[in-house]
Amino acid sequence: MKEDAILVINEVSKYFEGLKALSKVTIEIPEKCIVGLIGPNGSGKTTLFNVITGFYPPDEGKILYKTLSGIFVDITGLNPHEVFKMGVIRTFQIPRLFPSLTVLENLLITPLNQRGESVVNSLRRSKWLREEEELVHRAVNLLKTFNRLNIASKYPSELSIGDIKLIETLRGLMTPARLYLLDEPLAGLDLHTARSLLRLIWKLNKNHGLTFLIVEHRVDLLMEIADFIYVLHNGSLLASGTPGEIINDPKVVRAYIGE
Amino acid sequence: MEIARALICSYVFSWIYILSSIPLTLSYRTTKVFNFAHPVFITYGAYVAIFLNEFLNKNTPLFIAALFSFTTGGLIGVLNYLLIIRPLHQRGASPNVHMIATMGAWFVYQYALYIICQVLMKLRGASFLSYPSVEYVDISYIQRAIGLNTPQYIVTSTTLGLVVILSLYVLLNKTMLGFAMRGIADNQILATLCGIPRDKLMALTWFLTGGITALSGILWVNFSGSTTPEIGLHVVVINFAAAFIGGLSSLLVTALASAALALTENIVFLFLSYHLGLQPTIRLAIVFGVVFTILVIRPPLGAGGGLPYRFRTRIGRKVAGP
Amino acid sequence: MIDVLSFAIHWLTYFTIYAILAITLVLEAGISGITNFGKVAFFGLGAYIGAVVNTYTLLALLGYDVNTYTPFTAQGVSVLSKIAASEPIIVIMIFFMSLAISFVITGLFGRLLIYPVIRVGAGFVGFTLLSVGEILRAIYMNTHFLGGTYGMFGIPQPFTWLRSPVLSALCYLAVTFSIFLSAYILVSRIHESPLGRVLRAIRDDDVAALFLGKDVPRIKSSVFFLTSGLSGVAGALYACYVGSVNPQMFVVLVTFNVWAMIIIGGSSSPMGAVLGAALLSLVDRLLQYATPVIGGVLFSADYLRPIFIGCIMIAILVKKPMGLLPEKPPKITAGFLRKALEEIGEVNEGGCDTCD
Ligand SMILES: Nc1ncnc2c1ncn2[C@@H]1O[C@H](COP(=O)(O)OP(=O)(O)O)[C@@H](O)[C@H]1O
Ligand SMILES: [Mg+2]
Repeated sequence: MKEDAILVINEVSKYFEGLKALSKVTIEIPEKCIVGLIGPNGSGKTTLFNVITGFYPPDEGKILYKTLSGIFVDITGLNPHEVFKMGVIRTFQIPRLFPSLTVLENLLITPLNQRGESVVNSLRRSKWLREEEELVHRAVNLLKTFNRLNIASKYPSELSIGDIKLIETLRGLMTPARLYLLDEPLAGLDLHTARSLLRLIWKLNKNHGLTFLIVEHRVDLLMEIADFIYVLHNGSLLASGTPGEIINDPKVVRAYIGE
Repeated sequence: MEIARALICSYVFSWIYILSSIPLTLSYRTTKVFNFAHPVFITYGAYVAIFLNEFLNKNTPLFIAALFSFTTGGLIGVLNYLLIIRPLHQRGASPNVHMIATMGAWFVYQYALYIICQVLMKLRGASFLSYPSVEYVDISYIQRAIGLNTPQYIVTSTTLGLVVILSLYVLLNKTMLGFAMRGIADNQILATLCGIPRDKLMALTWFLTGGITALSGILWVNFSGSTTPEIGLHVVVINFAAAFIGGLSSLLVTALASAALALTENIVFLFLSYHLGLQPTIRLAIVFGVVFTILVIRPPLGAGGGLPYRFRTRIGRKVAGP
Repeated sequence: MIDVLSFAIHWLTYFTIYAILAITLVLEAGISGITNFGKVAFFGLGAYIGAVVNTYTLLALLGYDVNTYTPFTAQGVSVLSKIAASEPIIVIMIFFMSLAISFVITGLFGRLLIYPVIRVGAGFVGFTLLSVGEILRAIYMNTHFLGGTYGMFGIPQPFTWLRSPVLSALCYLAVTFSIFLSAYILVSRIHESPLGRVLRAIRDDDVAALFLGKDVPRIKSSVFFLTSGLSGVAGALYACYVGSVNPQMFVVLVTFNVWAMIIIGGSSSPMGAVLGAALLSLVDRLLQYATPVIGGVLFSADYLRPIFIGCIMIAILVKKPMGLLPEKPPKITAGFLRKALEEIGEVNEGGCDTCD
């Protein structure tokens, strides 16, 4: 196990009624890197995210995570909110925005430990007004980066599909985490927005040292920023390497074309 | 002797609960609606038998009662579907709203029944708010003919229970309709693609649900010495518990759970009434104790919503050395 | 004239008590998505606690033997009414103590109950709470010291010693009204705070909220502590107002009434709940006065009311799901947004054209 890894997925398997969604997958995510995870549809990428974030515990294997103090802890089978609290944030492939919250409110949900979230403090406005204002500013700035200020007070049902997807990803990026798991963040985005998002991710990575694990089908775009790529196929790891190695790997090409 | 009585009670109650729990699970897994108006079917089923008994001067044959109850329950089911569930579905309302609306419907039916009882009471002079048990003449006749001396409710519940369960089994497993109903449960789009009109299938499911559940009512009036309009509430708590144990999907587990709950209820009650002198009103608490234990130890997560939330996570997390 | 006044006081007392239930139900169901079909369980528990504290403790404190002077025997009731008329300080003290005890016990009961339940689907939450209400009733019926099937009588009203019925009713109204007002402020504060936002998110999609780091069961159960505690207080207020409790008072119909109130008013707006409670309690009280007049020729008019309300409730759910007062996004956050937009020189609202 490498010392510089932030997340180690060790021989993880997950079965669905006989179907092997993941079989003995071993992946290491180096800290402060942008790691891509690609593979044909149904190869188990989303399942891997679900297993990491505790949607369901794996049937086999372990998931280890390096905390801020540098020691590895076993996060296998923790509850989703506990994984989140350790600094791992995931987004959903099929966006799950809260339909009765405005876009702004959807973004404001993410930051953890807001003062106004405790029952006692919520009754005393003075306790949370300042923080709320800061968060609104942060959200507005985020929206401004993407020229989406006009949708701030709209409801998800009024958005285009691309915007819904974008907000789903931005909701994850609203608060600094140590590891982001983004599930197809570029799907449905126009090229311009997709590039802005990649630029944001790249900046967060370079300036703040945040780690990303990105599942993406638009491999060409992903290759532009990824430091390292893993390829999943039928639930097991097919290949891994730098973008250049992956592109030239005949196995990978076959997996995408074949069968 | 007491034990024997409790066992007989459990037996009859098993059938009553099975006949009312299975349709609850069936209706949920096909329509995804958590129907809080379920007790209505039971109560109306029972009261159709009671009214028949009154108007036929206590000469009610079982099959007539079954026919009328089944139809009434079924029609109520279809009516609920047409007036409440379908419009809500078309509007895209959340499952919670469906649930609340059916709860509203429950009260409408419940109080309508009180009114019917009162009106008929004025007309007939008999009290319907607590009615003595109904004996079915055709069953009595057959029993006399073959010299069977067991209490009638054993014969009635066994016969009716077996007939219904077998027909339901055949319907669900051997007919196109049954396949379609299971198709809806598993995959709505698939079912639509198979060319089955969703609307009709839903209406039919509600008809079956209402009809079969109503039959449990006619078993109840045969067994119980005093039927009140509140019986639905009592039975439905067990139905929900059984459906819950069946994970809202397995009919077999639901049926087994119904029987197990009936047995637990009666045996534990026997014990409690013997040692503590408690009244029958405490029975509900026994069932609930069972449900609550299951809820804490092994909840059917994912059934009808639910969170991927586990109580038993390790607090002191293991530190793995690199 | 006096009749109108006493009717108004009577109605307002009912209204404030029911409004406490409706407002807390808005917080539970409308805002947090806990389908509490067992509202009456907490109401009833609070009422019984209120009844016990206001009778037994009072009797014991004044040195009566609680085994002979029970609040369901003639001696007990007559002693209690004597006390109520002559011992103002102790009676009032015990009364407020009973409210506090009701709050704590009912709240803890709700919290302990809901915690294991909350992670299963909404249907089961509804069913579990509904059955808890029925079970509590069964327990009251089977407990001798709570008066069994007949319940308890002679619960002293804290202001009986004032002699003038109107005055004492007014004082009581002042108490119920101030508790109602605090409950209202509490719920609307929570509604517009970040906690309210989290609760609404949980209502919309509890799984997504869990993945965003919200400890859904814990948050829901602490809210439930508050709301069931307040329902308990409403119950204690009700018990002292009516002067008696019995198992028949706490049937599922009560829950249904409260649900009808919030659905008619607007199930996720606190003001809507108040409106709904005012409307339905007025109808309810008027009918109670009118029923003897209308008379039951064929059937008693009482039965028509739930039918009527149930139909309205379904019609609203089908046709106008947001009720009379729909939910609005909280003003404070929207205000901050406007301010932030102005600061960066964006034209506010409808200025979409300038963005791209
Ligand atoms: N909850 C589930 N139940 C049953 N099968 C599932 C479930 N989730 C995923 N699968 C199956 O696991 C496989 C991997 O799915 P997924 O992880 O979503 O693939 P990807 O995200 O790579 O497209 C698929 O064959 C899918 O059908
Ligand atoms: Mg996927």
